[in-house]
Amino acid sequence: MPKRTEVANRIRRLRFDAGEMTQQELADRVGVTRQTIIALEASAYVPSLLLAFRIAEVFAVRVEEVFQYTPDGARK
Amino acid sequence: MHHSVPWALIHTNNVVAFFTAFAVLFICGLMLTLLYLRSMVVNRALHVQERQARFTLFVLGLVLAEYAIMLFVLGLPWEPSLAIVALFGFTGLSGMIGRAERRDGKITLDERDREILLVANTTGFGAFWGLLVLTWTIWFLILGPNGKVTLEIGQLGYTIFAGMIIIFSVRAATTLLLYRRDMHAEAH
Repeated sequence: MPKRTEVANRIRRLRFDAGEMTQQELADRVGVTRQTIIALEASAYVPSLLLAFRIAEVFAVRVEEVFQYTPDGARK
Repeated sequence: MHHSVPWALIHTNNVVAFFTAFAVLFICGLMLTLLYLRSMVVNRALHVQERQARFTLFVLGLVLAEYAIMLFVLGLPWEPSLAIVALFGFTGLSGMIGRAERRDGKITLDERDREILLVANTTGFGAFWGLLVLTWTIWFLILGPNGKVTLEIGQLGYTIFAGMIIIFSVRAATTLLLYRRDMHAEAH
């Protein structure tokens, strides 16, 4: 099982709350591939600061509401 | 020409036979390479870099298989048979994979892909460097610091070519492993 990153996120929840946005739609809006969105949602990849801000902007929330720092790698 | 290995199924001791066998194997290898390339170009289910990595490893496997056929089935001499490695040059065609997606405006290389590519490249060059140092170390231990080895210019070329194959192959394998790791992460 791959090591979980120390950054958890609520991207999947926010996608569903945003009118059930698909992963591809989110990927197109922030300029990445769908596979990267999949990896993000699985906490298998830590985004760059720029990508994090872009994702937050899509959902019209603050970055802290999308990503959370979890030193033990535990999911919130 | 002489027999390369005594246990080969067929023993070929004829220059014309060698070139005929080589030409047949090369053409077959090229056709298989182009067919697989086409399948990778049209297959959009996988990521571009994954497809490029699969193509590279396919060509490597094909080259190794054909070299084994030349050596152990046809009994051709090992040094001239190395010419079949020229097929590996067709891995350069991997640039065609993803062109259609880029033309359609799709993103084929994002920040995560660049990160994976960086790790894969580093691993590839690291493997080559490690092998080079290991080879030197072994010779050093056997012959000592004042030992001498005579190397033909052609054989020196083999070293460089082998290095290129190691770098490309390890890079491709690492790329596939890293993408697969993320796929498993999704499942969990």
